[in-house]
Amino acid sequence: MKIASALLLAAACATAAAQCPHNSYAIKNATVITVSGSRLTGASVVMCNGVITAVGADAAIPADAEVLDATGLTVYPGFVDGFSQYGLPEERAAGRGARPDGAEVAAAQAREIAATLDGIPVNDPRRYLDPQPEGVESDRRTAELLDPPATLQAVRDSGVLASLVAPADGIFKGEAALVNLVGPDAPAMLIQPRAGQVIELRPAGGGGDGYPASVMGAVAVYRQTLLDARRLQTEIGIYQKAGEKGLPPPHYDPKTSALIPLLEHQQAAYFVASDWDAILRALKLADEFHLTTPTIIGATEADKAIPQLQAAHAAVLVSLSFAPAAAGGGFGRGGASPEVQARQRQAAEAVPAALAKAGVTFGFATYGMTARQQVVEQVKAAMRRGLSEADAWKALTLWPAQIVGAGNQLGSIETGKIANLVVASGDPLTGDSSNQWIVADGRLLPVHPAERPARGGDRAAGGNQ
Amino acid sequence: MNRCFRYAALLTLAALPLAAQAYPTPQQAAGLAAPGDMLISNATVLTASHGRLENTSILVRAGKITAIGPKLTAPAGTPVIDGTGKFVIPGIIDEHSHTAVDGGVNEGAPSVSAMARIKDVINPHDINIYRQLAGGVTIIHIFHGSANEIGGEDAVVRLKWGLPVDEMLYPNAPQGIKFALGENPKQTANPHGRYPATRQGVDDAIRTAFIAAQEYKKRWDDYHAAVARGETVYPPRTNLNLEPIVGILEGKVLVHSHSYVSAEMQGLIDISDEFHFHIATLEHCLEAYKIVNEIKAHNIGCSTFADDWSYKMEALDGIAYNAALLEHKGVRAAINSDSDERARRLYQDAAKVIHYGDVTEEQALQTITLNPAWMLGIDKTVGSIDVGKDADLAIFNGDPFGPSALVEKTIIDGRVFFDRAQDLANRKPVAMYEQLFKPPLSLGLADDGGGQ
Repeated sequence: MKIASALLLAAACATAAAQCPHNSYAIKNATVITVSGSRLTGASVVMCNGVITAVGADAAIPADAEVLDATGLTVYPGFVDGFSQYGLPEERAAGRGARPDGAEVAAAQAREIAATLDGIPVNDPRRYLDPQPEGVESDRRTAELLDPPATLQAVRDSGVLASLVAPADGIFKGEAALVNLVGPDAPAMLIQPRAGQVIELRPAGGGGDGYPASVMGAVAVYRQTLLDARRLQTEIGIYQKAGEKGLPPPHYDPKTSALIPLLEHQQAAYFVASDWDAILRALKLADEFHLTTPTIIGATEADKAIPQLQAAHAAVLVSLSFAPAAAGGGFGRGGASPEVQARQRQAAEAVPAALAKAGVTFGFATYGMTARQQVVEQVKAAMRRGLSEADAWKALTLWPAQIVGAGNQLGSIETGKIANLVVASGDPLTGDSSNQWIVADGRLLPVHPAERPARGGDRAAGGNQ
Repeated sequence: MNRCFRYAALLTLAALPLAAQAYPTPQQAAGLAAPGDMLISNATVLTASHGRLENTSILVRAGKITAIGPKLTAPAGTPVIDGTGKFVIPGIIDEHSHTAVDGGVNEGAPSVSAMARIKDVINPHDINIYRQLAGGVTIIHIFHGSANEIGGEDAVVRLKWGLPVDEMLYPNAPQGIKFALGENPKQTANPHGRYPATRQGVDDAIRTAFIAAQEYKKRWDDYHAAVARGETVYPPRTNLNLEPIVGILEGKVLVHSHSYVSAEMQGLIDISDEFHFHIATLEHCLEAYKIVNEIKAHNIGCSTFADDWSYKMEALDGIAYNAALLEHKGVRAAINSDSDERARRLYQDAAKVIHYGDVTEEQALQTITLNPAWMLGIDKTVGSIDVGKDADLAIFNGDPFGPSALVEKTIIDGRVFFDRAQDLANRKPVAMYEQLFKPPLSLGLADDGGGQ
């Protein structure tokens, strides 16, 4: 894949001209779904240095541009994925989906107990009066963890070209990054390296033996950690007021320091919350610390929380998995019968339409999906339950872009936006269609035939959980 | 895929009537949110405070009982429930419950988990809330589990099915906290590699926690004093695990302790003397009858089972006469469920106290109404049928302590939250639903659903 794109890059450079010295592309004679405006026919999209420079039937194509004749094809904006682990190494991406087996857990526990016995005596009050939590990874920066794996091509081929990314594990999962899903390396992927803090009020180990081991324990960890950050904030204030003398400097613990931007409303707060009660809990706990209007990720039962979402002005990134809330999580709602699960799934498919009707800001996320090729299929399921085609397009592109703070950069085919486009045969959301070409960050890439969306696609390669 | 969706459509049709009735619609809930008016006429009223009143009416205005007496009249438009032949009792209070807790009832990793709060994880949509309403229960005391010497903070919850959590919390109920002694906390030590693992260790950990809380409180007191003197100092760190223990020392947080063996109960009483705090309730307290005088002297309530014992070593000395013996000695006893299921028939468990120990009808009724209200610190406003108290009531088809007693209506704040007639009418769609899910269809669905 890297070789192919390098060759394309070389080809583009060879034809570069004065107007756009690095590279210029144009797609002509296409049906263009701009999302921000009307659908254009026989139109061109012109790009330079990875940015869209002109759109329309009368757009002038530079003489030196490499031109793709898209007669009979449709161009649409690359999907903006509200939340995923794309671009993270597998072990970071794993999160709660990949649990170690029983023997590994037992061995790890034995090691941990032995280690702590060596360090702090087992009856030391610190161990039970001020337990050290697992899952506080607030100082982890996604931007520093990115390591684009080869599997990104399969993601791009499904039409997803940018995503909000953070590791899946942890209560405070760390600082998210908004990334383009095309290399060649991590720095080249970053659109916004510091895109907010992602939080999930669940025990870090999925109910293991460490602290916390329960949802209420996770809430306590959330509360204690933010109180610690607030205290550091207070200390900094006192120290500065004292002219930075007469007191020892504040204790800049990395995990609490990393949360000060959140408390000072300089950073967005994302809460992973799927079921109804988890959503209400997240909204309440965001409010308890006066965080910036939170965005809910997952949101399988968001339709039931519409009044509270509206009251909080919260946005929602709906998981396209439409999986029953907490399925397999072992927390209260697991083990539902196939009938109940089917009912929950239908209800989840109807959530996007309900949110659209109520005017709740939402977008789609692939978080929780097991087969990444199914993005369009899942959106079609939501459309069968009442989501309009126009809203479906927006929920895949412009709306999530706006929610993650990139409404000027991504999500539509407009002059000035990042050139993330998909060229497809047929109509992607209403008919038989297959993606033919991808323009990712201004680079024209062919869709790999083997990775084309197919029913019952490659689960092993597609798994991000 | 097509087959899946065909079944899915069928499922939607079948599920709609059931779902609509299983959980109140927002419109229905809105009608239940504000306290209501009603007149219950000509019933047999078991007051739990001043005996049994025959042919008596209860007038409710804005959720409060405003009059009790024969032949009361209500202003025009007030809903009237004909109580002829019915029995009315105060709404049942289940003093020990773990119902409707999301994501685990124990924060079992550290042996002190006072930082955990049940109020953060109440699931107001738990079907057990509705089922317990069907057993005349109006208030449940939701506890953290018993894996920790000092567990999390509790919640006193009214079963206002259909309303959000905030509207279910009993207004102004004192905050309580769960303690636990004996087998449960010490057996949780091993899987978590934690201390303590013995009964004496349990006492040590509790004592250590109180000493730490005293020191913690002193740090804050010193800080406030320094600030008052105009000194520039950093505040101490807030430790959410010690804050509730300071609350206990200040008399603001009620202690409810899971306990079985008389010696360990006595041990906790000794610790309470040492640190000058009050124990509100000994929970389970199967051997309380052995130390009745000590319990009485410390004004502690005992919340126990009617006749449940020998289910583990420390429960071997339990007897069915425990509650009655306590009552005879003037110690307030409650009969609790500690179970989603038993909570639905607490009135039968209360009847057993009469059967085994020859207590009065009123004493038996108090074990599930006024006494738990007292243990929770809410007996001034709820727990008996008296003028001025909350209109939390259960209407039975006959004597609640009789073998065929059934709850017909359960009322909270003057609103009907359970109505048996309505419930029976709603069961028809359930039967239809079950017809649709005979095994062949389920199997077909499972095959197809997996390919999604």
